Amino acid sequence: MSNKVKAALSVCFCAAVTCTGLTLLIKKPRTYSETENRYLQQRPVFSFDAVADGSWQEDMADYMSDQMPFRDTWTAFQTKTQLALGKKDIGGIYIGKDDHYFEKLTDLDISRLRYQSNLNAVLAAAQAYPQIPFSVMFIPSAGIIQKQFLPDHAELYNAEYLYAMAQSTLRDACTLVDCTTALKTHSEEAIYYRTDHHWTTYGAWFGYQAWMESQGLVPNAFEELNVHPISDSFYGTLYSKAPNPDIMPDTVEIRYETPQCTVTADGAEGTLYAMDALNEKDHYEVFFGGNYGELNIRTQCQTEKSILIFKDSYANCLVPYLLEHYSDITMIDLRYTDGSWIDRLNEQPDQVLFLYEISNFAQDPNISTMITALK
Amino acid sequence: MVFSSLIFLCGFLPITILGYRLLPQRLRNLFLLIMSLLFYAWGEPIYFFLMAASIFLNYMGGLFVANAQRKRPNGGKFALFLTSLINLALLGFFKYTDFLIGTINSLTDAGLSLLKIALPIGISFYTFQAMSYVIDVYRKEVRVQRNLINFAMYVTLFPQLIAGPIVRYADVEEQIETRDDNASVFWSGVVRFSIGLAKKALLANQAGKLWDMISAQPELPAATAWLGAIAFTFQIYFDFSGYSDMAIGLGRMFGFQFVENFRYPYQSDSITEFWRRWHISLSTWFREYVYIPLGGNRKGKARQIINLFIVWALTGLWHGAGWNFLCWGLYFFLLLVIEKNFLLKLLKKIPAVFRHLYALLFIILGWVLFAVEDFSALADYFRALVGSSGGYNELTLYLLSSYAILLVVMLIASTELPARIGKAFCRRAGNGAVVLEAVWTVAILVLSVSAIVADSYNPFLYFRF
Repeated sequence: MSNKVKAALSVCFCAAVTCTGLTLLIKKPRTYSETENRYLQQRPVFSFDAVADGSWQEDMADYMSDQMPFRDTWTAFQTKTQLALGKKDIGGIYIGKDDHYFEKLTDLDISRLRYQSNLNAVLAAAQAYPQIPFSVMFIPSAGIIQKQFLPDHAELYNAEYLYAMAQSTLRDACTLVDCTTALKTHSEEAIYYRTDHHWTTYGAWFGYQAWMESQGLVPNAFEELNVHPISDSFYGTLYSKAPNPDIMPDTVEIRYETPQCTVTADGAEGTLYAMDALNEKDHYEVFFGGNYGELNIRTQCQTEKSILIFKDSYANCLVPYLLEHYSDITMIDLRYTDGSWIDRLNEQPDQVLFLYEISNFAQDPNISTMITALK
Repeated sequence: MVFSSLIFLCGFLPITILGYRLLPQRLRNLFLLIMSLLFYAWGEPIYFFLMAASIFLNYMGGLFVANAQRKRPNGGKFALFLTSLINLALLGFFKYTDFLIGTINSLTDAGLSLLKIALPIGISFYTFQAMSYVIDVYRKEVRVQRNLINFAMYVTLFPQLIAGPIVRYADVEEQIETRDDNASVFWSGVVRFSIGLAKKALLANQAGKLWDMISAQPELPAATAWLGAIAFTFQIYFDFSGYSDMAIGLGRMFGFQFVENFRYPYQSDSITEFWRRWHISLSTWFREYVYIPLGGNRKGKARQIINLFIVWALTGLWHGAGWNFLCWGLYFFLLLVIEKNFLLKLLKKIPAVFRHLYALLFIILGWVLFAVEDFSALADYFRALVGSSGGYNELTLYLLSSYAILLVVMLIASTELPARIGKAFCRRAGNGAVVLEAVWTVAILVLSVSAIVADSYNPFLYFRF
C-alpha cells in the first residue's frame, strides 16, 4: 500500500515540475510586470556565441524565473513568509509600521565622494553665472522625517551630515532653502506616500511654502489650492520590491483648478497632469506624465519672472504650485537632458533652483558632468 | 547550473527523469552521461574539454595500472604515479597558479602578472573522485572499469559533480551496473532533495544576507561581530549540507546511494567529533588516501603529528587558494593535536553543556578565519569580537529584532531535533506516515520555490572549491 502511495507521489512530483516546464515553454511571455514595475526577461535568442559566453544560459535562467506561472502569487507569498518570520527589511526596503515602506539607504549606500563632486558642480554653475541668484532645496527622504514609522532601531543615512556638507560647500554662492523643519513638524501627516518614495502633493506644499518664504513671497494656503484625490489605488515603486496585497494603497492628489498655461515637454506639447498615467501602474506619473530632459511652462502670470529648475522627480508635484508666481518655468532633468540647459542658463533666468531629494542628488552620476559643459 | 534554480527544477530535472525512465536499462548510463555533461557545460562550456581530458586520463590510468598488475603482481606504481601527478598538476594549475604567483610577487619584486584563470566548476571535487578510482584499482579494492561510458558517467554524474559529496568509486562500484531505482527509493529522493532545497533557499540565503550586511560594515561592535560570525556559521552549514542533501536526493531518484556527508556537526562536543560529522566524504578521502598511506598513527607519536599536519595543511588548501585557508586548516590541526593529547580527557570530566560551548566557540572562530580572507581585515574582525569598537549599537538591535526568529529556526534546524520529531510523528501515524511526509515535503517545496522565484540572491559558497 505504502509503495503504491509513494509511486503516486513520485508521479505527482514529476508531473508538477514537467508541467511547469512545459508551461514556460509554450506560454506567451509577459513583457511587463505591473506589480514589480519592471520589464521581464523575454525568451533569449539561441546562438552558438551566446551559449559559448554563457549569456544565453543566464538569460534563460532569468526567463524561467521572470515568466514563472503565477509569479505575482509566488512573490507575494514570499513577502508574507518573510514578514511572518519577523524580517523587517525585504529587497532593500524597510517594512515599517502602519503600512509604511521606506527605502533602506544607509551611509554605506551613499558615496560622500560623489555627493561632494555633485555639490562642486552646483558651486561651479553658481560661480559661472554670478549675476543669477542660485538656490538649493534638498528634500529629505521619507525615513528621515517619518522616523516613527520606521521599524525599531532601523537606521538610515546621516542626513544632517549631508546637509552640513552642502552648507559648507555652497554657503557663499547659493541660498540653501530649508524644507526639513516644516516637514518635520507635520511628520504625522501624509506628507510622503506609504508605498512610494516620493512626497505627496500635500508634502510638496511645505516645500513650496519654504521656497516662497525664502524669496520673501507669500505662499497660497493649501486649503485654497483646491487639491483633491485623483486616485486611491496607487501602489508605488517601494511596494513593487516587496509586494503584499494586505497593504492599503496610497491616494494621489492633484490641483483641480490650475491657471491657464502652455506646457512643452522635450519640444512636444506636454500637459500638467497626464490622466492616462492613472491607467498604468505608476500613478505618480500623473504629474507631467513623468520626467523630461527639458520641460517648459508658460503661464499668464502678471509678474514677468522666469525660473530655471534643475530637478529630479520630487519636483514634479511641487511645480504646479508655482504657476501663480512665475510666467516662465523651465525644468531640467539632468538624467535625460540633451545639454540644452546651458542655453537656458545663458538666457539669464531670474532664478535658478536645484530641487532634489537629497539621497537622489548624492547618488546621481549626471550632476558632476555639468562641470565639463560649463568650461 | 545550480540545483536551486528554476531552470534546473523545471527544465533539466524533468527531462532527465523522463528520459531516464523511458529508456531501456542498457542506455540509461549513456543518457545520464550525456545529461551530466550538458549540466556541466551549462555554466562554462569551455571547460567541457577539461572534463573530457580528465575522464580520459583516469580511464586510461586505471587500464594501465590494471594491465601492469597483470604482468607483475606489484606493478602499476608508475602508471599510478603518473596519473596522480597529472591529476594534481591540472588541479594545481587551475586552482593554485595565481596564488603562487601572488605569493612570489609579495616575497620578491618579480612583479609577475596573474593568469586570472576562472576556476573550473567542481574541479576539486571531481579530481579527488577520479583519483580515488585509480588508487583503488592499484590497491585492488575495485575492479578496473573497461567501459568508458560507465566510467565517464561515474566521474560526471551531475548530482555530486560540482559540490560533492566526494563519492569514492569503491562506494558506487556495484551501483554503476545495477541499481535499485523503484518508486519508493525515488520518492525518498524527492523528500531528501526538498529538505536540501529548503536548507539552501530558505535558511542559507537568509543567513548569507545577514553575514553580507554585517561584513560590509566599516565598524563592528562586539555583539554585531558575533552575530555576523554566527550568521556565517549557519550559512556555510545550510549551504553546504543543503547541497549534499540535494545531491543525495537526486542520486536516489536515479537509484544511487551516496554516503552521508553531514551528521549534525554543530551538535559536536569536541572538535574531533566535529570533523567526524562535517564534510565526511572529504575527511574520509584524506584519511584513506593521505593519512593512512603516510603511516597514520602506527609510526609513533611524532610521526602521527607530522602526518596530521600534512593532512590539515592540505585540507585547508583544498578549500581555497589562500593563506587564510591554510591557517584555517592548521588551526584545526592544532586543536585536534591538543584534544588528542590531553584535552579530550579533561573535557570528559566537565558537564556536557560546557563541552558543547567549547566546541561551538572554536567552530565559530574557525569560520571567521575561513570567511575573512584578507589578514588585516581578519585581525580587525577578531579585535571587533573582543569589543574594540564597543559592545553594541542601533544596528545590532535592529538586526537582532529582524533576524531573531530566523536565528532560532536555524539553531533548531541544525540539530537532529526536527528529524527526531518527524520520526516520532511518523511512528505514531503508522500508515499515515507517508501522507504526513508528503504534506511536509510539499510545504517546504512551495516555500523554497517562492523564495527562489522572488529572490535573486542565490550564491553557492562551495562553488569556489
